Amino acid sequence: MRTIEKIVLLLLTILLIMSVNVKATADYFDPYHLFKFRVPVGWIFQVSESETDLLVFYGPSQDELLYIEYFKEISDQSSLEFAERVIEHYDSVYGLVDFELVQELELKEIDGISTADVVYSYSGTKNRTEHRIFAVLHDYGLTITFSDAHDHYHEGEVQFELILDNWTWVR
Amino acid sequence: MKAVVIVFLVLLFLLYPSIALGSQNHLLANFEKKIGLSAREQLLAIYGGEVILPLHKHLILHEIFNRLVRVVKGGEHEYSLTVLKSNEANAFSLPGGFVFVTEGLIDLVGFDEHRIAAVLAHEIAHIEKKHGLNAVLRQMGFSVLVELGIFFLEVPPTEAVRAAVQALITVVQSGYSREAELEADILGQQYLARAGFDPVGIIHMLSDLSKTEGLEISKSIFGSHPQTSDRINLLLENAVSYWSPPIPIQENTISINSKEDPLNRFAIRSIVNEFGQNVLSVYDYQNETEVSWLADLTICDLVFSPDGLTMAAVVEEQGEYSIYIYNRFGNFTERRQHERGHAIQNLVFSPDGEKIAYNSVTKDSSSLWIGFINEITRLNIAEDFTGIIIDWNKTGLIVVDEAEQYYCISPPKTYSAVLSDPVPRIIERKPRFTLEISRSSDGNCIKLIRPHIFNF
Repeated sequence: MRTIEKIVLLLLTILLIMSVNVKATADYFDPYHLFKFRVPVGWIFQVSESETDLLVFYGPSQDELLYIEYFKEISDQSSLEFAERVIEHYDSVYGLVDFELVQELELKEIDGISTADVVYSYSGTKNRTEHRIFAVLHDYGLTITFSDAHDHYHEGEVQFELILDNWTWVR
Repeated sequence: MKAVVIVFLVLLFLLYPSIALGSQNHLLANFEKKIGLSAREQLLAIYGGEVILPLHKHLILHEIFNRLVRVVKGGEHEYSLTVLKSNEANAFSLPGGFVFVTEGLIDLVGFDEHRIAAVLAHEIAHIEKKHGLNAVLRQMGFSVLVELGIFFLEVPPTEAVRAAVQALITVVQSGYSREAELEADILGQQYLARAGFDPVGIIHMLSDLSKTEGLEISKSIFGSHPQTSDRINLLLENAVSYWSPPIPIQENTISINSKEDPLNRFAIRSIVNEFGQNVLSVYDYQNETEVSWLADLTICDLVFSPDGLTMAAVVEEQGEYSIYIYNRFGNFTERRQHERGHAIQNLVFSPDGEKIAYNSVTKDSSSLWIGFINEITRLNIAEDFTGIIIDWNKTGLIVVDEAEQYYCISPPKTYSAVLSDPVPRIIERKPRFTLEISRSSDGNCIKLIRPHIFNF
């Protein structure tokens, strides 16, 4: 192989690697152009699991899951009120099995918006831990949830924190 | 003391006819609640106890129930709903406001909100009409009235009250009288309409149950008598009353929807068949050919549902007309045969695609019918009105009569059971669907093993 061919091949390889990296860390714009966030490497949007009011992403490990749900009509006046009402349901007799708060409800600012932040565990098909953000914006509500099997929760939570750090409200 | 008891007995005898007529009776409210509560405990034990449905199903079920309770006039009872841990498809109610449905019933209807609402409305109607209490009083006769006299003097319940509970359980398990069942059907249908559920839900529910009658999965649900077909016929007649009469409208307020394929793959074409008749065919632009699944049929009319996923065709076979329902991929799902000698014309889908309207035409008359897709229900919505169906838009069915006056006929208003304050979903990740490969013992071939998939 001639030198020039080697250089071209090398350049092409670099470009290919760069394009993969760009894709892996691409920003995700939601279909309603309400927010965007940086999708961590190895996280994949799940078309078949997502619906018009639900976005689902699977992480690289077996049980990692990120899901975002929209609520067009919401009567709660604040993120905290929204979160408190929902937690009450989750913690009721008809709520989640073995529901337990891992981290008390607290306020968290995400890109200048005050949201409510909570971590809890429950028994589903596996024992799971979920980190959920509740947000009430102008005319809609949103929850952003990272979920994983209880035993692996802390390994993936770092990624979730990165997602929240890079979160941008578009509107 | 003796005199007081006699006064009570006289009072109760005077009140007995009014109880039978279903009017409110505050004197008996306490008794009703007590025997209902006692019977509830016993029935819970018989049916294996209460079960709590998953979060969102629980909330929606109670939303449906509360919507129905809100439309009950009077508000004499404090209503409660219990889901029983039983595979038997059943529902019943007890005096005092206690309503029960089994898990088996919820599974049977696939959590269809109009069907569930129908079951609950029927049971609430039994309570409002005091069918349980009346049946017990009839069974117990004089003895219970004597005991009631003592009961209201706040003497602890006696043997007769306990016997009343046993009588109530027997009544609930064996079913009410024919009159009581029919009355609960009609009143239940009224509650459905008032609460914004489709009044035909109760017909669909009874139809489902009639299919299971031979399978012994439903025992006493809705009572075992009268015949289901009699009840369905009565409810069909009554369901028409929830449609508005034809209301005159201005012609310029109408926008007519296209009958073409909304997804633009198929085109309806008029052709002349081998017998020289003018019939319709469907051309598939994607495969550039006529669709084969309609080729052997004489199609007189054909329409697509607004979402394009369903199509309905009027087929004529030796003077008999039927409506054939297909899905978009040509799979035949349903055939509705019509009365002999009645031609079917002017097919129109409802905006939600769940109903279809058509004219049934003879030499002398034309009537307006509504058929529910994949259900037995057919309603003759305007018996004394002849008019040609033009369209079905959000306000209702658009019809024009011979004098070219336009009318609108509106269906009963329904709305979905949604939580006023939404509760976010809880989602679990589905396992990866990968195939395991293992080599056979002789090493000559490999086997692909599908991993176990959890049901969520």
